[in-house]
Amino acid sequence: MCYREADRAVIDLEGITASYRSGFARRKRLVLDDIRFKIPAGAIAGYLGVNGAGKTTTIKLIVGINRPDSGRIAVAGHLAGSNEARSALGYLPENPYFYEYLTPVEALDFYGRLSGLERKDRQTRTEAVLREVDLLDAKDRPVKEFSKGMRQRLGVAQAILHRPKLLVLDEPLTGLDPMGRLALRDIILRQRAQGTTIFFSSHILSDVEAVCDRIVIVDACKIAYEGSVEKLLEAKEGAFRVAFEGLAEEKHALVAEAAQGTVERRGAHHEVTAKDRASAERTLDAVRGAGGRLVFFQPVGVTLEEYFVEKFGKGAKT
Amino acid sequence: MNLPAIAAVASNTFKESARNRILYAIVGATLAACGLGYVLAAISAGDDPTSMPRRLRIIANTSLSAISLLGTLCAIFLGTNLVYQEVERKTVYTILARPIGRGEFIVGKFAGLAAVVVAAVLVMALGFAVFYALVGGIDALSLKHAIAIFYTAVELVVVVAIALVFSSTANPIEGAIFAFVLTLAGHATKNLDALGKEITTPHAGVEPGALAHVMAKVLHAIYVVLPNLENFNLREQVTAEKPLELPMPHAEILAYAGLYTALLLAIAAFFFKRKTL
Repeated sequence: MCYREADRAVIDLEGITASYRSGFARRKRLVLDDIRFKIPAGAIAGYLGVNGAGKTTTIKLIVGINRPDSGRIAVAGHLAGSNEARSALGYLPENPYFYEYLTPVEALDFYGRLSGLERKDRQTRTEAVLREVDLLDAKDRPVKEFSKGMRQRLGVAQAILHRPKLLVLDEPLTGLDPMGRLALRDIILRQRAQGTTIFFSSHILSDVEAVCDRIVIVDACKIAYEGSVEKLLEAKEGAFRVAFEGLAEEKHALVAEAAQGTVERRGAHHEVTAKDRASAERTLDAVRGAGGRLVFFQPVGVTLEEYFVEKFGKGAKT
Repeated sequence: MNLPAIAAVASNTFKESARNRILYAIVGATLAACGLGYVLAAISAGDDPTSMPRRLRIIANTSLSAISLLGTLCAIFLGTNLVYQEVERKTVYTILARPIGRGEFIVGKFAGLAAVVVAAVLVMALGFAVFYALVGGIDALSLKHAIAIFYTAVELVVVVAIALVFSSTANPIEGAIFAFVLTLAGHATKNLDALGKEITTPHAGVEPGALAHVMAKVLHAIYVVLPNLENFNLREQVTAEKPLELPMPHAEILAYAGLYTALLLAIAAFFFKRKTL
């Protein structure tokens, strides 16, 4: 069977089950149960879930660090954990750690050797990736002097050093300041522009929404959603803002009751947020019925964060 | 076998271990022990020319024992931390995400630390040679000394492999205790075998019972399974006036060391492969 590159799944999980043994009695705890999803080539995919949902476990299985209890994982057409699959991916662990005494140049030379790059290629790529992550000025400083953001960027540099087809990033944006997050988002977008598929887990849902064209949500050991962000949010009806004027203060209670919200003054007019379409229509009727004039009527989109908190917030483990 | 990747891990481990303060403390303590041997020789034997062999014997005994004992501590302390620390510090994740297997990682870590321990033995041996030559002149040093120190280094390489097994399975404190006990046992295996023979020997016309024969077989099995580190111990013979008596030919001693190290590395790799990271 002949595939176009764009049609081929770069990550393909089938029936993955994983568990840990912990405690003195080595009791088994199920972490992933019959997980299956595919990430097509060229996508930026976000992997979401509350703490303890199994995101890092899934990522370690994809990268080949651990093995599942059952199921099959393919990375760029190769069995996860095989040398071919590992060569095809770059991995940034959560809070990446490096040998503290090494400089970025020495660290990247080490990772380049592990990836089988020739000496000349290692030198060229080291220079290029340090420029890409904006660490060229710090190339001869030991890692122990690095800030969290610099370590994260060095982590990305080692992940992209060998020009992988797939980048797997575990919580790459956590702990970064807004400028650091923006810089990392730019690097992710530039990597995608070069044809790299990106799969990353994150708690920063605004960033996921901004850069991902696909998301996978894991909840209670199972996949709860796989698809585009737009499709997910389309299904969820948002609230509506209703702005009005020319209504006496004593009539505001009627409007608030219809909207199931609170009327607030906004400059020359008043505004109320109705939680859904039905309440919004009742609010419009109430405004008009009481003799008020409509200033505007605006749907308020649901953000991924709002959706996520509403749907999975109760199950969150902190 | 991905040899370039193993070499990368080995050279990185060498650089990392060579920065460890414990290594310098132990090498420093060994050099101090060699110096102590020099002082003890002067105090106990004086500078009478007839006492020269005794003075040299004291320096050789003190120095070679210090190299063996402190070298063993060095191999155990650095070895039991080797894999455990990589997992604790999470540096292992970015390494194992590359095309290198866990077994190859273990071999690389072993090779790097073994090279550090051998380099440390060379420095300690140099210290011994200086103090020895100060008393007896450069001519007093012989091939016997070099051979004894060479086999001490071989023994320490086996001890590194022992420590690595426990580094893959236990925390550094437990690992150090287990490795130290196994190393001590490795110097006492001949006694176990001799004990087995002793309890099965008829005494005063009384034939030992079946249980004694079973126990003897168990003791012999333990003797075979445990590392026989006495195979590498030529230190006590160095000061004797006669030539070295090897427990077996050089090739067999080295083959034993190589096979036993390979077996220990296979065990370390087996446990490390089963570990969920």
